[in-house]
Amino acid sequence: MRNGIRTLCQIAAVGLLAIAATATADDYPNGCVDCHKLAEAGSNSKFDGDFRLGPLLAQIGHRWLKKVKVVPEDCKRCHGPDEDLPLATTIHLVHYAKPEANVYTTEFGGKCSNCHAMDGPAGKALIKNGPRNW
Amino acid sequence: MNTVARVLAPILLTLAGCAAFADEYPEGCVSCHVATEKQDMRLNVVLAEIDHSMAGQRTAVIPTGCTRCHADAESLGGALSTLVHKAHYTGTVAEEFLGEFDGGCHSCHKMDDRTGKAGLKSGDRNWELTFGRPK
Repeated sequence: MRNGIRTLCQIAAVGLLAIAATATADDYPNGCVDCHKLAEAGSNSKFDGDFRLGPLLAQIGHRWLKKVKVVPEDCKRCHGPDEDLPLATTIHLVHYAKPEANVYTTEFGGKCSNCHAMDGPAGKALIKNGPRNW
Repeated sequence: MNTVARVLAPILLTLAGCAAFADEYPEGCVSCHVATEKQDMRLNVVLAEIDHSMAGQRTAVIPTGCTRCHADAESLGGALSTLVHKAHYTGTVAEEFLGEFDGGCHSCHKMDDRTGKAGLKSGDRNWELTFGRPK
């Protein structure tokens, strides 16, 4: 009986650890390119389609991103803080304009931590980066 | 009936949307740092525990007023952003903030959806002064 309770406690502890690990795991370690990907039919994605930034930006007439290798770090070459279209402002507006109707917040549950990471010991917020996926 | 449903549906959906985006922490720091039956987490109490100067207690609007000493890295007390990020994202406090309290950037920051700028929430201090009055 006592062994049974001990086993049950051990299972519960492992379960709690697993939940904690899941809660702190980063689903989007590479930022932009972890959300903006090719979601083919039959995949587990919520929507099927090509959400990669190369094709997506081409649709709105953006110039071809042949020199961009790391996203979004390389985007800053044209979208620096002092440029006409600073990257931070542009990305915030695209994802947070009318949050009650924006698919980023309504459909995908997007939030700051999708794109930003926190360096706790340094106390600095960072921008996640990843290699282009197109 | 159909007309009533057609009129009511968008209203209900809008209300549901507003409820989903209600801000649980509209005043930032002081919306979380409150006194409960379990513990007193108000900032005057928390800061006293780490021997912060009494200037903290006299601060009227949190965290706006904190920038008197914590404007940037060159300030007397260092940059507030760095201190607060460290405090909430390291050690056991991080476990409480991110786990127990489900905290995140949105707890202290808000997005201005017209300008695309992330800002800081603020609110009036939630404790009584025990000495003096701010001028």
